[in-house]
Amino acid sequence: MRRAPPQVGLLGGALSALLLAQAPAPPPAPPPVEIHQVSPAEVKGVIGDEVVSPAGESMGRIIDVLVDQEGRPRAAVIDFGGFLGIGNRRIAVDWKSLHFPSSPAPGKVICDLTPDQIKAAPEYREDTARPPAIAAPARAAAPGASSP
Amino acid sequence: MPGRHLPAPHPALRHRALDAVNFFQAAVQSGFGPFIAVYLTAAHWTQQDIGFALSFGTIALMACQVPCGAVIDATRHRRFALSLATLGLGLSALLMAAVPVLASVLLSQALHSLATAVSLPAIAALTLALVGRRELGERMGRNARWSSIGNGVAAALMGWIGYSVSYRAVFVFTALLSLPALFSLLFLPSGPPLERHRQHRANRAPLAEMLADHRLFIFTVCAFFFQLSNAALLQLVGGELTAGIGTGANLVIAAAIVIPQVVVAALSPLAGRLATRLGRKRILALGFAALPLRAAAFALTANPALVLFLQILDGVAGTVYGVLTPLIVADIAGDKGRFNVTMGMVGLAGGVGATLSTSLAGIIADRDGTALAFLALAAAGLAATLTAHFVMPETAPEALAGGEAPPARA
Repeated sequence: MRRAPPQVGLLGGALSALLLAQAPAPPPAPPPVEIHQVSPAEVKGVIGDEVVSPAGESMGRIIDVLVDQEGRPRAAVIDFGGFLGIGNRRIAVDWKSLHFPSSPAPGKVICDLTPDQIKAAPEYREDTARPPAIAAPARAAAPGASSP
Repeated sequence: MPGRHLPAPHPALRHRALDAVNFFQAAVQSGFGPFIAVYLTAAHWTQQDIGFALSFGTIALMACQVPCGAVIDATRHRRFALSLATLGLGLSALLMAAVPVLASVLLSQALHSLATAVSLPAIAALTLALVGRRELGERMGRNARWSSIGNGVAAALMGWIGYSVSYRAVFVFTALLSLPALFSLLFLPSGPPLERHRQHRANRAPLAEMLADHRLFIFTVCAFFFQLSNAALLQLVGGELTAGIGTGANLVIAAAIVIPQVVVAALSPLAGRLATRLGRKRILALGFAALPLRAAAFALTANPALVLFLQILDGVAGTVYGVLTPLIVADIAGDKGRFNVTMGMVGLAGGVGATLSTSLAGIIADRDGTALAFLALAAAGLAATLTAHFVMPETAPEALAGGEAPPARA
């Protein structure tokens, strides 16, 4: 008989589960997940959020966030302009030129770039070998802001 | 011409009803498509998921077109099929409005594709039944005019609703539009009498005979190259405009969308008359020629005024494609009881061309620049034009010019 009856399998399974459960017992059970209570005013998701100019005109929406190797946000990919899905351009905008105020317009992201600066920025491409170009206003071009 | 023998108290009323059917079907069917991406983006969807949902709809439409055409050919109840499709379109819009989660969006896309695959040929089939082959050219022109007006009015209203209320309201509005679309169907004949339908079915040509028809093969090649050239053009030139003029581009792009619609509404009845008088082939080649011309001109200029002027050519090519497709398909398959399945095949060929168009143009534009992408699209348009001019035979039956309608296949 090559197959153990199912009961034996079950028993074996239960036994090994028991053993497994007991095995890491000497070091105390792993600490439970730490829960940080964060108020909605402190953090929020930004994908899909509307991007407006400092004057409040609608410019586009955030569709992606580019992070560096430590996971710190470096730039947001913003879908600018267009009409009925035609003629929109994706541009990676330096994180420092974006502001996320909780008031007066919650859910809206303010972008410092002027229309002319957006016009001049190269389009963001996801799957080319070229490093993505990040657009930032000239005054905010801190070291490291323009090359990843 | 089954419709002729039905009680028809007011032929003028039926024509008006058909105008309304075309208007509302176009409004419901093509209305909310452009809003899906921005609606889902605002609902925090990633671009990958949005792309997946949209491609799912495209593939579903391609998969449905031919089988749905075959079903409509087989059924006597075309008007009922069209009402189901209208309900499907409305339900699809409601699903999209209800909850933007993956399951409901995919279901909405599937419903929309299925309904579109039914409604496009079914309208043409009901038209054919209403007016018969002899007046079909004129009437198809009028159909295209009212579809174009429906498209334009719906796009304008939905744009306004999306801007001033919410994107969700756009979908609710679309669902509401399906009610007048259903109502307008009441004024059309429901279908041919049973004996006539049985006789028609008995005389149906086998599908293999249709597939062996070289005219059908050549015309599907035309449709493929037409869409391969046409589908990506506006998207590509829109990107050029935004890059060139920045924020003001939105208005120019809106005008670039509206102008061809106006041209289609204005020219379609004329195209239908000319196709009846001068034959299909000449009008087809002439209209298609506008396409490579426009694509090549876009390679040279992104000047907003010139782009808007060139969009008139988009209207010319769109008119000819929209009016002549059902006419040529009726010539090839109308008397053989295979009109709808043939419409499905031509639609499928066009759909494959359109899908390839956007991806190929994107790749070429990325690698070699937009000018070369425009030239590649122009080459596809030239292939469509040359096929229409040199290879496509005239399909209009000689009897049409003489005055007596051709006898049904016996």
